[in-house]
Amino acid sequence: MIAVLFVLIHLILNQNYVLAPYIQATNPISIFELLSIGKWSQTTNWILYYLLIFSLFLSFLGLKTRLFLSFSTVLYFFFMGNYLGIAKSPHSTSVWHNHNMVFMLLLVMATLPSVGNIKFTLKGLSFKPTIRSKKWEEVLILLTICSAYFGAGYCKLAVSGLTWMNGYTLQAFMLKKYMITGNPYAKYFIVNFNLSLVLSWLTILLECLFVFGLLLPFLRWIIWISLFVFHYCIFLTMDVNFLTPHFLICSAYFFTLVFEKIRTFIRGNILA
Amino acid sequence: MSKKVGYGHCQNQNSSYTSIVKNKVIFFSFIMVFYGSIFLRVEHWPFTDWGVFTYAYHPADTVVFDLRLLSQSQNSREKFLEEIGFSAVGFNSQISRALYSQNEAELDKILNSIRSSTTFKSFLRNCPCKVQLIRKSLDRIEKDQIYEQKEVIRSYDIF
Repeated sequence: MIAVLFVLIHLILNQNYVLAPYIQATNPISIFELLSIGKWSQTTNWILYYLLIFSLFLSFLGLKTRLFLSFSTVLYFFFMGNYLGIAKSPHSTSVWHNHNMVFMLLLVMATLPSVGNIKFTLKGLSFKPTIRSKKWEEVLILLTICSAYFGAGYCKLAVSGLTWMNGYTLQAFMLKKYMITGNPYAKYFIVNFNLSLVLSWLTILLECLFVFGLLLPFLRWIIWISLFVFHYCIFLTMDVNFLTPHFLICSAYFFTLVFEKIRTFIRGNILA
Repeated sequence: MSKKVGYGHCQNQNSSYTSIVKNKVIFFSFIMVFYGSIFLRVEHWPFTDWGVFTYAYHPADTVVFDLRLLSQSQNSREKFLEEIGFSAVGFNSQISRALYSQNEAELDKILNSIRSSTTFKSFLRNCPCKVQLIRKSLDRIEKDQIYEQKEVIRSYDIF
């Protein structure tokens, strides 16, 4: 429910998804071409966007959750695919991980058996005690989140091998950013080579290995904080914001854990 | 009666078994699709592509493009693109592409779109000056200072 709420807020706050100019060349999407889908009109994209918002809102309320989550997943796939096709240059090779992640999380949530265990009623939140989330469902959500980081780390190693971690690569990325924008944090990395070297190793280790620590309850919060620091450093040095669109949505599961603890505490200590 | 109970028990066992198998199928299908696409490098943009900042670079090979304003008194100003509403990163990648593909028409189109923009004109405040397209690369790093090498590629008089 929290994840759906975050996706909803993210979509509503980013009105550029429907207000962006519709004049650029289309970046062909292979899977859309397979379905013979070309560039859609802006009106179609508007309709998809508002249907998506409506469908997500209904699943957030817990009304026919599975049905509307499935519907939202399909709508998100077509809406975001169409948006990315027109919003990015045909020559662009960069990807925005949050779109992959939102799509994957919606898809996973739509199939989980316990997805309809909570709904909003006039009296407040209503829980169905017969439907409880199972351990494997939580593991699946966590492994889906891990796949984003693992995928990014694995691609770096697959393309560049260990050369990516020699410190010069990170220094070169920072140098490019510094020469374009004059970012002072990027400058700090350029003049301190050893810091670049250590952070290159830490990036690959975090993405490929440490991120799976999310599965271990005793490591969970340390890794979560590490990921926050990682995203915050990227935001400061590279001016790329993965915090609100990606990290916040991925963190929905952890916020649920906190809410569960608070609920248990209130029931056990205050209401008792 | 006991037969009925036994049959019901068997039905429960069957449904529980089906449910476990179904859960396992859901779990492993997703894991196979998500992680399989990573290992097999199925990079069907935009939904299964994770490659970002994947290439290994060296600071010596790093090159960027920027605009420089040169006034009559030879005072210069750089890194102002964001101030006039243009993305510096976008500008850099567009210019790189046009230059590497030797597409002169595209290069002129990009530069003219900036020069003719109202934000750029108001930024200049009718000051007679030159605008230059420059190529920047690393010269050296010395005592916590970064020295850049700059080469003028194009030069235009504004007024």
